[in-house]
Amino acid sequence: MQKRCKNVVMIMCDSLQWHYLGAYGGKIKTPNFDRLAREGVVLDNVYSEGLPTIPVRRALFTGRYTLPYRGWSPLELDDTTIADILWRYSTYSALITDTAVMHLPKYGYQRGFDYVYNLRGHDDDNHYYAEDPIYHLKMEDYHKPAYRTDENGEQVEEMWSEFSKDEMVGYLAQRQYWKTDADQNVAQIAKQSIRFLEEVDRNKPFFLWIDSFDPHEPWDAPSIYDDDLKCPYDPDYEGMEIWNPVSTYADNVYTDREMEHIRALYAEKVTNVDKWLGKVLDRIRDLGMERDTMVVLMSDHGEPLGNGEHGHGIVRKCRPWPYEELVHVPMIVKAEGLEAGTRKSALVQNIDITPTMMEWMNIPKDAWADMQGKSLWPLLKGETEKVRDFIITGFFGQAWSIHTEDWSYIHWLNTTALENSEAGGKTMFEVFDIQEGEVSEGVDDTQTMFDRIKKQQEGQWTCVPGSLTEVPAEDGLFNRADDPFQLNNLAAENPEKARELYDKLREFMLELKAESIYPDMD
Amino acid sequence: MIKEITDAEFESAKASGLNILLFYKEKCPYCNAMKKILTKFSGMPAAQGKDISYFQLNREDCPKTVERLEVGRIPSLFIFRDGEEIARKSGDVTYRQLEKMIA
Repeated sequence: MQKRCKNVVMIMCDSLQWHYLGAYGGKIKTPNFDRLAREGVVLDNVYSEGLPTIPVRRALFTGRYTLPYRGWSPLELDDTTIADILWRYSTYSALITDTAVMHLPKYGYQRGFDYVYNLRGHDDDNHYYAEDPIYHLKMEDYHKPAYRTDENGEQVEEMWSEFSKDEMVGYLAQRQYWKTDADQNVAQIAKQSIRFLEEVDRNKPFFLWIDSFDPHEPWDAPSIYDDDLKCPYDPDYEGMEIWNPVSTYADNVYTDREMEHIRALYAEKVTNVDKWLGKVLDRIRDLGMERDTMVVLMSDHGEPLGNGEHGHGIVRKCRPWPYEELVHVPMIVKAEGLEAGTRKSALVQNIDITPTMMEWMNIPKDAWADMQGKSLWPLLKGETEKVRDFIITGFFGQAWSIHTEDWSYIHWLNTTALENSEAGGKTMFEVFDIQEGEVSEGVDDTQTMFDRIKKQQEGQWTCVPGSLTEVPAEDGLFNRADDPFQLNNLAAENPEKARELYDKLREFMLELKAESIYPDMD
Repeated sequence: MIKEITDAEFESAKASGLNILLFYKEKCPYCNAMKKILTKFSGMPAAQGKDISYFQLNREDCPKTVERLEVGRIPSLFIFRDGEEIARKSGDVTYRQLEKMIA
């Protein structure tokens, strides 16, 4: 008789803001994730350690920190991933994704999975459709340009405005055929996931990683393409439907009203993500897989969406700022043996989920001994109230941050050091091998374009074009209870507390550096 | 586990066997980290069976030794085998490096 299979379904939603979910007190409709919350355990204080997208994938796949070691860069042979480990333990591993950066050439994040499904065209993969003719949608209906005055006194489109437009060429070509919410990327990911669950060999345990890029931008929610729908979170809006905003300071391009609507479109995307991934949750139950399957819902990070607590002034992740709206992530875990409907306020690092999944699947501890995450089972089962005294977060080489129960502190690293390789990785243009001769409008010549892009890119650290490694001048100290979104810097008034946290952060980072597995850090 | 010494004990501390000496400063977070790292290292397989002794010297209290070894950045590690310096490292260190340094 076969032994009991213990499966995992990890649902990773890129850019899903924790506080938008109903289960976290959000106002938008997420009935399916809320149901998962009532059936499982909600963790209220989970933080991603290294940002953004690619470092999080590395961190979760390896159960190890990235912040002291690596930024946005390919997976290496020294990295041991869940898929690498599970190969040896009779577990069928599957990755279903439209997260384009996991499919970047030579990056290798799909290494080792037994089954991989890639949906093309999202985000950095928008070039997949860019050559197709566009009949039905117009750029000017959705793109609000930002301008600057050039050396001749002429108004030309800003570079990052151009970047947003460049992204939209492929999007418009693909999405001109979209009509309803069932056409959205998350719907295809959900359908593929359901297909997988229906066809997987039930005699063996499986590990399914569903990586839905939605609700990452572009925020072309169902109401954009369905003439019968208004955006449910802003039905009276009459302005331009801006669904791929320029990645810059919100006030440079958008009115408050426009930003409000951009957030509403984002919220509508979240509701659609909940609707379609909710069908996956339903199917797990229909197929009788609930008892044997641990389900995890997480995101990699949140999203800067404007001023104040929405985004500290920026739209999209165009600055390496590890503020609350970006680094705090949702985590809901449902598994047999856990008390339904409980909440845990303990500080948790995102990498803690990885050994937790390994333990659920009964993978021998020796196989994952190098993981730095801490198993959450004692916390989830109510055997302990605490996992960690503090968590860290940040952007490799650019910003480090520490959160204790009461305080958070952000330390900005010396960005001029980034010129010498610490930022890691290639520029986006080196990865995609853009040829000479491809010029954006408003730029005099290709050399100027490339020089400016390369100077600003300083090594890719995010999927957002036109991002700059610009950070505030002063470190920040914030009271977590009074000011969770870190808007009021108390460092000047509390120099001792600031110093204490700064020292604690640096001490921990050096301890972690000692645990490096990479020979180039020797 | 890490024994505090001063200039007076320096010679005898490094004289025989495998000895790791850490130069530190008070309230230095990287130095605090280094103490934890050495403590952890002492329990690792690479350090087992090697009979390593660990010492720490407060930079402010050991001017003669600091000058003699030309200690620069803090924290600084010095490794001696039977009185001879075999390795030194300042700033950060990895367990992999420590393993190589005592090999």
